Amino acid sequence: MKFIADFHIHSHLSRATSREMNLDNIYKWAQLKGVTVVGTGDFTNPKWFKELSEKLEPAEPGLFVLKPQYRQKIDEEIPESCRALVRFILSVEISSIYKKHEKTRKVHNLIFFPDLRSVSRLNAMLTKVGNLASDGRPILGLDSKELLRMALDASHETYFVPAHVWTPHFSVLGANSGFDSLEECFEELTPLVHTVETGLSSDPPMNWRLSALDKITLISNSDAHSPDRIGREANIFSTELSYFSILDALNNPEKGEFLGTIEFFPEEGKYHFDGHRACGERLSPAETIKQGGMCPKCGKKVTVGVMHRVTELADRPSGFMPDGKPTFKSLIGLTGVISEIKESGVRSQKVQQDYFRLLRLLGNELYILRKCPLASLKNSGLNLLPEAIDKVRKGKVNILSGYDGEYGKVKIFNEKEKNAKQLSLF
Amino acid sequence: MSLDLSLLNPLQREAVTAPDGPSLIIAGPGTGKTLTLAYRIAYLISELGINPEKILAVTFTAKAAQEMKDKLFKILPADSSCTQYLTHLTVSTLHALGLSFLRQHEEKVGLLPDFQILSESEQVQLVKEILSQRMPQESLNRALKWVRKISEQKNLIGGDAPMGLDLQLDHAQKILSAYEKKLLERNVIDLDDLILKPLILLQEFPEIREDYQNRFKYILVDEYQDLNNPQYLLLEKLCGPKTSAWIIGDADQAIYAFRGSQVKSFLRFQQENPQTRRIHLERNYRSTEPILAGALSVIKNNTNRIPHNLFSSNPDGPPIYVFHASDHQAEARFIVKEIEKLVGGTRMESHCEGPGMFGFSDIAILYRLHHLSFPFSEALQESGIPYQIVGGHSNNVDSISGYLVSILKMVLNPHDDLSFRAIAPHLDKQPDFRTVFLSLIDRYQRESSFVSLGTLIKNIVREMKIKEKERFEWLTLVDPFQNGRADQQLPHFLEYISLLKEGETYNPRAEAVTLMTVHAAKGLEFPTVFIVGLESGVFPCTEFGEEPSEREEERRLFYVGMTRAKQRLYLSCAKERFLFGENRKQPPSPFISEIPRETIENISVRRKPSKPKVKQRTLFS
Repeated sequence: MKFIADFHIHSHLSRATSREMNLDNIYKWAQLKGVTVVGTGDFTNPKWFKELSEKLEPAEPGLFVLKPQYRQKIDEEIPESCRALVRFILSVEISSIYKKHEKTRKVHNLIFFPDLRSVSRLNAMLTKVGNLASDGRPILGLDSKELLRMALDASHETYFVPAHVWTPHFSVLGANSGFDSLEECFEELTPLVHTVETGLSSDPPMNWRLSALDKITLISNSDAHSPDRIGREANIFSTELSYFSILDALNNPEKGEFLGTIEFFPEEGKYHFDGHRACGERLSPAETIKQGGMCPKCGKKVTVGVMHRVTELADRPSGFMPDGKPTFKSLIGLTGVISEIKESGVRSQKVQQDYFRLLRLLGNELYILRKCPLASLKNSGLNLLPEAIDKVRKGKVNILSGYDGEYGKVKIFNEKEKNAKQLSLF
Repeated sequence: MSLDLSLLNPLQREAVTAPDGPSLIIAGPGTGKTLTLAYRIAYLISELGINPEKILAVTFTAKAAQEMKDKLFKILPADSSCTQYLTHLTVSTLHALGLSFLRQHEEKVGLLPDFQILSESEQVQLVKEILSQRMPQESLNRALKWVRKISEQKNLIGGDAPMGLDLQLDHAQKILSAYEKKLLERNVIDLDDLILKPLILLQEFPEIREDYQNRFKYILVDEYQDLNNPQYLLLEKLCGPKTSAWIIGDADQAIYAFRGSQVKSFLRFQQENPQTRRIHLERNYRSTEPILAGALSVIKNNTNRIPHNLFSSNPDGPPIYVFHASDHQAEARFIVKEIEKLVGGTRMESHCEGPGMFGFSDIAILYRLHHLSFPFSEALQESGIPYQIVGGHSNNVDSISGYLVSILKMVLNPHDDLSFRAIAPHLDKQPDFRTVFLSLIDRYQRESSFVSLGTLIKNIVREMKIKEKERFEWLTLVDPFQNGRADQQLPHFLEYISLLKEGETYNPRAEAVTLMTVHAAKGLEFPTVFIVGLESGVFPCTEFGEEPSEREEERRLFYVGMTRAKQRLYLSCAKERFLFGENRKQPPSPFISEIPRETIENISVRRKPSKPKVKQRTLFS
């Protein structure tokens, strides 16, 4: 079957996450968003592990489902137009902070297992290394390669994916505390890394510029810290619904069972460009080089973003397209679209009301953004919606790039366009 | 190929190539003491062609001995045959050396083969037995104090008058002789005997003494300043007329007066060997200029010292940071925040600007007393930052590891009543647990004939519910004893840990912030050091007396702490601290004001006044 998967989220037991990130809400929002397979996140956390053991039960091979007694009440809250099955995949993100070759490295990695017994084996090993209880995404003083080895020791069916690989401060290829190649990090275990997560600030074409990543499958996940962010980046599969089929599709992209990714516009990501947030200085890679890497305002070092870092490690020109790669689609969240039309904040009541009305009327969010015929959108009560969605689908949007932890700013219409449209309606 | 001495500075080279005859090398902190010692040994072997069998190198810890051997493998010319017979070289602590002497000649000092070494908890049990027979009015809680007094008494040989003896000499003598009698009955010895009995052996058996003197033509001694009197005498006996003694140390770093070592004996070697060559190593390769300047101006306040200077090779560096906290919790919060900055943020959500080039293993939090560690370990635990606490347990009855040692001894010998009595207080809670416990021991003993030592300890730790942190520390200690069956390795393992000193459980490879006492940090270095709890009465600590000599010892200890830092040194104190069961208000340590103002930067933290927390007390009581 065809389905969408978001492998990387966090529970409410991680730092800086919404209190709403519990299994009920994850289950609910996966449906509202149109995500079928969603990561549990945080399985190393003792409290979360207990909750997973109590509330989930095995479904298809390697996947889990919320037990019926917990499911029923939530199902009633979900508009009929969005109701769908949801499967959980056991996942965690680990923050490894360690020294290698005289440099401090900070690398985030995702680990997956098909069963709870393997999870508890890994948890038992990691308990000896560090503190799993204080954060759903634990900080461990453990070499990434050693972590991979331990995951394999816990179960040979584990799947290991370096997370948001370009993020400057916390990733395997990041400018500040990463490596220059996967090999430098994982050494002889590198062949066991088949897949990397590209993160919000990079899209597949940026990654295609590195021949070193040709054999690596690129996936995208939301890294959601609150339920309404689930599925903002995700992966599309056409295969059997099972842990092992998903792995098979990722490991053998030539089979065509991994159809591609749903992406942010990379400019919207928090680390697309370079800059210094405290001074409000946004710099393109070229500008940074011209400034000698220093903030033009205060003279401190700027945070080098993803675009810059990709350019540094790339061995191909921008725009290069290798053969046989899965496709991708860049989107903007539906509340973002409505917010621009309504000229009201994303979390404002006006926007939220319209958002849920559209879901009830048309179906889940990813359906609306990707598939819903423009004709159907015309009956949405939002006159600008069909054209806005059309522009998003065609990538005709204006974005001010994000930098140094500041999200980019997206505009679908410029002022002139918008005034003209509004007028022509009357 | 010959030994490459080009890495050494001229004074180091002079020390390394010193001709035969007595040499005293005074090596300040960070001046390459270990390197110089290693090169000296390498020089003797590869340049002078000395047979390694003829060389004895004495180190302060077993770990230092192992590291010395590793270092020699690296610096000796690879193509030479020297490395092949390096195994014949003796690099050892004095205690381990003493043990090997005793194992060869046990009958000469009245011991039977396979005599055992008592742990401190077993000493306490023995002393309790004696006290209850001889001094029923004496509280048994004072047994540990008596153990220390006995040790003090035993070490008072060949000179010094008893230090601050507040007990009646008569009583002390009686208890000491009763104690010694009990040791003999049980065919056990204590740690002091590992020095004292070999000393007797060498004194009373000239042929044995000459044997050893002929064997060791070159004796090299590290950390000379921390030898106590019996240890000094033992070395003296080992040195024959043809022996070349080469000793290295730093009187400013003598921090073991409580084990009987004293600064004033530092120059005794030179006084007794007037022809001694003396070399000062003063080029410091470790710390930045501000850190050294601060440390030197502190140590200069000691009157009882050998003038010795230090020059930094690294003139640039930040000042010494000083932080005055309102209480111990604010102090701990500040340090956690600072650590997050030092590693450039530990989370994406709270990314903070900071130097960012440090890893967790580059950072140490040092304190005067273990009691001080609690708020810091708690704050680190809360923040999720990985940390390791080093030591914190001598083989004391009340500590978990002492408990584990006793259990292991019972597995080795179920009739070991001393160990059982050390464990018994832990078992009283349930009436039938005693029998349950004994049957567990029985099971472990059976298990030990087919599982590895690591597995055995893991099982014990799990079933006896021993705390997590110590568990990790224990398992790393067991590593070298993993081959073969537990029952075969257990005696070797117990002997090994009975000779361990504080700080030897420090794991430099752990990617974690290290918490330890200043004593345990001796010989180590860290890019960033926090010295915490710098309050009058705490550091300098006045718990053990306020004599001027003790004040100087405390100052040396502070100097050792400061000179562990390579790049950044933070000093912090709290106006109010919960310690020894009470809230104490203490002014900052006078040592802080001994640091010149221009090398200090006071850090102030802007923060919202926090709500008073009421739960603190229950946490400690």
